[in-house]
Amino acid sequence: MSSYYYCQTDGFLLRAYTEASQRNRSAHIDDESHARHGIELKPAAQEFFLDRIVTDSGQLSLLISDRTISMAKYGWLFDVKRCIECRACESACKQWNGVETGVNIRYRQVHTSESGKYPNVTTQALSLACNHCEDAWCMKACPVKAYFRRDDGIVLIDWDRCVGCTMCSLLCPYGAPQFNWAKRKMEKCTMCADRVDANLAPACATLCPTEALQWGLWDNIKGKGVPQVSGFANPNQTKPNIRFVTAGWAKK
Amino acid sequence: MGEEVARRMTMAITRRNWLQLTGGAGAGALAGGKLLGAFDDYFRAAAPAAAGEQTLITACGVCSPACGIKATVKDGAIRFLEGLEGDFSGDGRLCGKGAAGAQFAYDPDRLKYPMRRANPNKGLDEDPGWVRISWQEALDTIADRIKNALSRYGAESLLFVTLPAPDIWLRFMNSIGVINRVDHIDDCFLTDRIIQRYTTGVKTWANDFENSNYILLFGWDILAKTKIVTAQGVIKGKENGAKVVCFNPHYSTTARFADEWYGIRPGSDLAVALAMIQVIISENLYNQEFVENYTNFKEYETKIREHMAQYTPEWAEKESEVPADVIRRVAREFAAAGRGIAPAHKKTLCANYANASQLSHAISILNILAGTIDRPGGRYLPAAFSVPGVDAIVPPPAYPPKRGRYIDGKDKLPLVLEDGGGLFSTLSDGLLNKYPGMIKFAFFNAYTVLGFPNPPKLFEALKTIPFLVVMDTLPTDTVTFADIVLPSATYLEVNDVVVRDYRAKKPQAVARQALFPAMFETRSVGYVALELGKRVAPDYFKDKDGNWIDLSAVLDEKVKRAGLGENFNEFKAKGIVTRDQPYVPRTRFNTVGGTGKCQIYVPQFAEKGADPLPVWRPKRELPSPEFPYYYLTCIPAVHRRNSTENNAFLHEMLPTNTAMMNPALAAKLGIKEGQKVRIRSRVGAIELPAHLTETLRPDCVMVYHGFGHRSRLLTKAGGKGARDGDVIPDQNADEMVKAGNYAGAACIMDAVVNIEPL
Amino acid sequence: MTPQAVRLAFAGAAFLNPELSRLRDWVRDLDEPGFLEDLGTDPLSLETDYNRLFLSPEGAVCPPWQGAHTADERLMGDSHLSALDWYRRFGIEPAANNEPADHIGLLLLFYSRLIDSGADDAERQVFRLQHLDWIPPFCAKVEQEARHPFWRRLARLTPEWIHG
Repeated sequence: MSSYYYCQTDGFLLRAYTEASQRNRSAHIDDESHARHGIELKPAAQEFFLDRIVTDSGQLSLLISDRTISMAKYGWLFDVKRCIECRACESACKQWNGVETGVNIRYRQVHTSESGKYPNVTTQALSLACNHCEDAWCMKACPVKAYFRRDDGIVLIDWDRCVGCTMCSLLCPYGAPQFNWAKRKMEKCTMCADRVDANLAPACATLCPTEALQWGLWDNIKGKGVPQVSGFANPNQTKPNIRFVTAGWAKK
Repeated sequence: MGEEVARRMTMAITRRNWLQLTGGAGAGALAGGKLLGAFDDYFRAAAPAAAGEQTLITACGVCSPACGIKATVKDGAIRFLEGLEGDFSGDGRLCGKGAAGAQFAYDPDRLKYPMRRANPNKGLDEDPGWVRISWQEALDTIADRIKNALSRYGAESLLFVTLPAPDIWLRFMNSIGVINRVDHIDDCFLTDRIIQRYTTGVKTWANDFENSNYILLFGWDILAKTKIVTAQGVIKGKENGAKVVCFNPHYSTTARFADEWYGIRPGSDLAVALAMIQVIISENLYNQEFVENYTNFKEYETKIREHMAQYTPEWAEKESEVPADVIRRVAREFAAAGRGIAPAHKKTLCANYANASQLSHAISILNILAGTIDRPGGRYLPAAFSVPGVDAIVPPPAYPPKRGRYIDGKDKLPLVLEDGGGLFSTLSDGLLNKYPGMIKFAFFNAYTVLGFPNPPKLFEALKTIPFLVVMDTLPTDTVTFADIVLPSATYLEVNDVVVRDYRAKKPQAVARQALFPAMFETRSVGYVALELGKRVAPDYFKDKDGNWIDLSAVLDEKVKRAGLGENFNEFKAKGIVTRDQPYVPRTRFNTVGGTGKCQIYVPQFAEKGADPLPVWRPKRELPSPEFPYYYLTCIPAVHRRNSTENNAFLHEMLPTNTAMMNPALAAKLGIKEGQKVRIRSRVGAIELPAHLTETLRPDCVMVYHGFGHRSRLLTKAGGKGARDGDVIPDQNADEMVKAGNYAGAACIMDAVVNIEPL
Repeated sequence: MTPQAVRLAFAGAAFLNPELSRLRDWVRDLDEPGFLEDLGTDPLSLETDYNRLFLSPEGAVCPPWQGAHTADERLMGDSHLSALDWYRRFGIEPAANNEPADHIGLLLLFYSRLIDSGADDAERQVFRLQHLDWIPPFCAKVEQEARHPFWRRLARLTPEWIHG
């Protein structure tokens, strides 16, 4: 775990980073009895870091990657009402991307939550992967510039460069980059860039049986739905390319 | 023979290559020369062109709608599974289980070779001392055992725990007069199948949700339970403006989707259904045209009105805790909608409680009153390709009559006996108490002990069976008790014709084809049936020319007669065949008795130990001071009954179960999130960590079914979670008669429990 | 065949088939003390332990395919495809087309051939890295779990033999 990249700039940052990474690690550890029951999308550590980055311009200049940020071209449209928690999206992703099952990594995950009190209770399921944000903090955080963005907006990790410091996972509000203990690198949803290149939708959207999860041109999606639902971190931070449909039963 | 020659030839070729590989002939002295032979056995010359990526069509086998699959296969290994466009089941998509299908075939834990035990002592913790045997030896041994038991003890001494499929397997059982075939259908849709035969004429799974405008759901988490075809249907209905009302003690996925949800008291759906019938009948809201022309309502009107009068919404509110005005309003809306449907499906409705038979009947009546039997928006008879069975293609000699005693007591329940399905819930009692020692030979086809109520009792019962054969894909707990284990091929490795019946206004069939050769030495049940047939009842397994039945020729003939193609190869090249024909709604219904009408009042029930009209009965187990809480079980969306917990993808998503309860209940009992609790009923106890959720009534505890596999041979699922069934009482037939459970419901959720923190 | 190749071929063959008479036959070429005695004369106990260690239903103990030991936890995955690739480059493939190609026995047999064919160090090293690195911890487990002395000895010596 390479926390030494920042030690010469800010001892405070280093201490916070170490604490945060320990907290974040426990959030990633598979808790069997709660695997289904909802995962916090935004560990407290991230909030700390966000304040630092936004307010402390000295740190900000250190963290910006010099790769250009271009306009995203694709995005996700998720209809909260239609999700039946079948996990087709998770299985499809694992199949296509060959994500191992022994390392507790799921590029895409269905997060369930509930609110209210019986009998005035409601539940929600969100299928989330990487939002290939317009202002991706993972890219900013990476000390070795392992992140890059394609012309179509898809954000990818260059494994020749990644050293597995996990900085990106601390800053991502959505838990997208995950550390693979077997490879010792970060991994995340690639929006099935290889399928996109073959004019196919990502595996997850291809399989979703109720069309709760859809993928398409961001220009078509950005006007639909709302940018945030409960449990989803504030989109004003990184400008994720996702919209949520929460009302109406129009035919898809 | 040809195979052996080919093998020798390739060995010769390979040896030349190897000599090149070894840098020339005469390499070294005899040292290692003999070991060259070993190499020959395991390698051969590479095939000239390795197959690139192929796209093959097949059908999923995780659950019964059998969604069409478009499979990308590279080099004999599955690369990707996705849905099949135009498919009525799945509509071009798959669920998480289907998409994880490759992991079933590629599970390192899967059974690979036939085995026999060397250690005669049987127990969950005994090491069987497995010895690998050939299929020949396995089949010969099994056949001898069957013949022995038949001649010494008669057909009643044979127990087959299996569905009656494939047809060649049923033929085998019929050919030797098997009387004790037991399946899980009492855990599933037995009750509804029996009731429907008398009320609407056929058990249908086809529900016209898309065209419905009022969907009334009793207890069925239709959106999340395994079958995407029903979820898609209900969503389409919703898009078309349907109202969805849901009764369930659990705020399920469906509940959040529904327009109205009521946390009904467990086991009291019958009260609500009866009261709804009462409202519809007393206020004359039923579909006059349908009811008067296509049902026997007029004939028995007085009896019906008199009987139903007692079931007022006010009465039902006391039983169910659903407000009377809600019951009344929903009943009126349902009837007025014109295209209302109250689907009943499998376990979640037809097997849970002792009053399931009456509930099935009541719900059938609701659909009949709505006038939507085989009408838009309602339950309908799927249009299907008629695929002949093997008995039609190779007619057998007359089967011997079935004589003997029923180990599961079906004979005490006339309606169950005539149906032939079930009974899991009474098997343990049969083996241990009713007819101990009668069964000398048993064959378990892919069922695990987890599928039974009170599994520990079944473990004890299994020990009393002198010879047990288990055929499965995985080394489950049942396998530990086997004398011979047969490794089963998965659905990805077999060929078949799959006919659509869940959403089929037109006939549609999909070719299930093996995506790669069956791995290791796994085989299909059809193969076992034929091979045992040859040994035990040869006269039933020859064609008219005296040759053994050729299953692949039979498959070709099935395809041809069904009009799907000249032969299976042609059919599988097409993959999916749909016949464009208009849907013709019935005017005659094939109910028992031959009147051609739907039956609200069922006169035949009186002679068969059942009620002609549904009568209110509570569930069997009611809260008491010792056991104050209702026990609910549930199958999570990510798993399928108890057979998927070891699948690598699905295991990762949901590896274990918990004791789910309302925080108010937990607080009352001093239980915190994650704390271990003991759930105890009158028959058993389990221990699980608690999970608090507001989605449950405060007088219930809910446990996901399918976990608690003990077998450490299941490297992922073994040792995870607890068996929900340990707490559920099993039954005997006398109890069922007494409880008015005339259509054989397994009462798979009828338990009350005590909960204590540990 | 070089002594190393002979040993590896023996190990490969043994991991594939525990037939006593053939193993006794081959072991004489091995020039390894103790093996013959460890083999013993009881085919049943040799086979039962083999089944218990490597085959289902008891295959959970030490599944003999590389794929089962990767984070992938599956058969017919990347390591199977990669092994197939290696075999095909040399014009051969496993005789059984319905079993994983990354069985330890197949990999060792192939590696013994590779050594004997005079493949250069770089090629051998790549194959070791890709397909034999999992074997030492696997053998440690086998040695720990095995009851029959032959399997214990084989498990102890195979990693040594791989290194030459």
